[in-house]
Amino acid sequence: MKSLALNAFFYECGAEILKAVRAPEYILPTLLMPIAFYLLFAFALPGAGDNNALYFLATYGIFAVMGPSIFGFGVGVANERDRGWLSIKRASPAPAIAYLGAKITVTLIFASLALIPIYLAAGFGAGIALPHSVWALLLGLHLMSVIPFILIGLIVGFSLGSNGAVAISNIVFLAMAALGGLWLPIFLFPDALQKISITLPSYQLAEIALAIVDAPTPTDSLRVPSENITVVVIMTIFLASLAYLAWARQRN
Amino acid sequence: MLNRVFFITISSLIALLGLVIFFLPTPTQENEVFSNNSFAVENISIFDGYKVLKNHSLIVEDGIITQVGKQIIIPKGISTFHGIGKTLLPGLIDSHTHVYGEALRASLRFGVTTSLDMFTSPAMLKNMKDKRQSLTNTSASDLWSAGILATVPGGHGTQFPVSVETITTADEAHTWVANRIAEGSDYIKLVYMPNNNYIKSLDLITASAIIKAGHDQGVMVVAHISTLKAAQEMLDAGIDGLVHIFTDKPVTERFIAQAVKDGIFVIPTLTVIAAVDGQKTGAALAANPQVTAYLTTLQKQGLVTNFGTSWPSFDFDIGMQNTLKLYAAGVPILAGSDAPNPGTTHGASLHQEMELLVRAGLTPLAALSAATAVPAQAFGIKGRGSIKVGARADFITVVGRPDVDISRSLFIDKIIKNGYEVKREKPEGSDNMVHQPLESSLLGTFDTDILPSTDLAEQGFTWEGTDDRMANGNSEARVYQIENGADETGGALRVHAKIKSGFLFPWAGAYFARTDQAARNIDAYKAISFQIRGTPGKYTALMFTTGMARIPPAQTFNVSHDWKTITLDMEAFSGLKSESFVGFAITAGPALGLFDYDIDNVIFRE
Repeated sequence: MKSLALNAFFYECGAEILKAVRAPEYILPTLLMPIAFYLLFAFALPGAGDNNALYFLATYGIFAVMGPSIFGFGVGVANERDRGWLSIKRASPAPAIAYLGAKITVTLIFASLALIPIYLAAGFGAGIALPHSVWALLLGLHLMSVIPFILIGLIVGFSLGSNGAVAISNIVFLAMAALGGLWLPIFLFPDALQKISITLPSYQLAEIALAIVDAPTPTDSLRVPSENITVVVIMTIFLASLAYLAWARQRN
Repeated sequence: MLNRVFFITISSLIALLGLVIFFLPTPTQENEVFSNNSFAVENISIFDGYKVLKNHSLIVEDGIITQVGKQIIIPKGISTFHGIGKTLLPGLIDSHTHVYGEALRASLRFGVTTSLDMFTSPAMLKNMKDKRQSLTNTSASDLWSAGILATVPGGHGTQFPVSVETITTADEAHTWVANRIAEGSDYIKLVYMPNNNYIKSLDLITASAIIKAGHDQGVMVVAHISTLKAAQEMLDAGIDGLVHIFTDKPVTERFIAQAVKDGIFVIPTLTVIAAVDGQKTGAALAANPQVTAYLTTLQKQGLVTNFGTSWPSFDFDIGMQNTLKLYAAGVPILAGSDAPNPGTTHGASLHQEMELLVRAGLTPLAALSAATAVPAQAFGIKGRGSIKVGARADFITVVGRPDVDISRSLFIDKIIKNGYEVKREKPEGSDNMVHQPLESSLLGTFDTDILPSTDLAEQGFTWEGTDDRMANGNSEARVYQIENGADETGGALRVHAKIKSGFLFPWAGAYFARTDQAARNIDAYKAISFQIRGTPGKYTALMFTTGMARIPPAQTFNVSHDWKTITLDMEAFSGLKSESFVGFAITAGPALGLFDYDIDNVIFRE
């Protein structure tokens, strides 16, 4: 049984990868947009200096992993549900965990592919030098960041039809990116917006990433990453509960 | 097939991620030395003299800090280093030191960029003011000095090989201070240790006159004291600062209140007080791996030696408690090492002083201020001790956060003086010099003359008289050969010694060394033995090694009219560096009087 689950997982993964390779038009934008934005904000815009490159390395890394997570799950799951594919899956002997595990693994693969060009641009383009341990820790955090976004994607995917899921995924994605301070630091926002920002997982994760690279704080406030981590854990538990509810509801 | 797609993808991706992480740029532990005095430091925690500014950057142009901030634009083409994980501190200020020889260089090797001397020869003050105003590349710290200290004949300060213009009456105060100012002294230091029975001192009237004369002529006056009573009397007399904490009694409320009101400062010098109180802090410092690599043999020797005698009323715990109480009340506390007293050394000991201030109860931040901004303010020294626009680019970067863990101040990454990076190398030949073994263990049998054994005599070793006239004392020694030594086959070495007052520890005796003071290794020997007879009393045997500038390791023994053999273990010469032996002496003193004594068969024993 165990090997069946594992085999099913490997096959699911392989199939997901092939799907992306055969229809790259769906995945390419989510891979290319982050690096394009990073190059624009960290290099091309006036006033971009080394400090920006370091700051945005942390935040655009979060941005890069958000796309595959939210769209892959939100739109992907909604589509497969609409077409009855999920019902077939449920009837098949392959356990649900293989389906879910494969989707998560493939999301991590795409997240990595989105991150690599940003890291290369930061390191070799902007000359950002960090100890190996910091680079590795940053990569670890960026990859771990898929978890809350995957949960958000699942909630969307389980709750909405494919058309609605596309619209909502886009709104969530853009809100998380812009309001979460991934494009521009939130201190530039009006106070009211800043209050919203701190409730977003994207903001909290970006703060942890900024603390890892020891990026300059735009204001005099100090970063306390332990607080951000606590908030992220609480948010994740909350999102997981919502996702479970959404899944249970669509099943009935 | 799908199986393989997955495995190939995932393994190539993991390999790719590994490669990317591996090849991404890492901070170069570069040892790019800034060859000119304009550069930038990015993303570093800056201790500005009072507080830490996180993730700041700064720009240095021509040796002056021109920008400090978070969002400053670094000009293209300027050399830059990233300071992530590091803290930048103002160049340290040692508020109590005695400068001669290599002191200013040894200080800078540990990030001390400004040395406030509390007594040295006026010869050291030459060019001092020009040098400290210039921004040229230098390997030495800058000097402020009291020059000669105010003391009475035979008082504290007269025991060193420096000619001291003493002062005995209040009438002389004005002229005495004017002479100091003419010599270039920046401030006046007086020694006030009245009513003790071991050393003479200025009386209160003269000390008060010196304070007034100093103030009349526009200079600060600071005092060496060791008791609460003396400190209180100096406070009443209008002193500007104390260069030691008193350690005999707990500080009184009255003293604290008055010290706060009058705005005096205190330089506790806990490092030297710990050494006097036998805390072995110097030996611990010498063993610290962050320290030992940058010390010369001489410095290590200085750290492991102790005062060899206990002084009354030096209680390290009381010293720490008094320091904390004064600090808590708001009295400025300045870090000073009192190097190079036994148990201390220039540079490294100031870091230990900060550590001891933290042990006394100051915060690490306050200890850092005590070695930077606080002394700059107390002594009115502009452009030093803080990191701000317009300040001189004297600073150090250390790995970690000394504002949290003071021991991090010793994890020095770069030392910048006048905007130039200082290469942190200890002087050549200090430790690595391998000296050849002493040619013979037979230092002297004196059978036919006073020369050592042939092997040693050919190398230029001799026996000579030695006395404290080299330290401005008045003792005299003469050595010559006599017939009929201890073994009745040949002669012996006669020492005719007149021990006279004039130097605090007077001596006169016989000295074995090469005329050029070349060093030899005597590691192989466990003991030295000799026969001796003469005027009964206590005598001293001393070992000399390279570069000595302080009291050498010594042992005492008693002599009577009859020949007897003295054997001294080498281990009991504490702090002896046996691999760089220079000389050996047998002296009379410090008891005054005439001593005639004969020495025979001086032999190193294996």
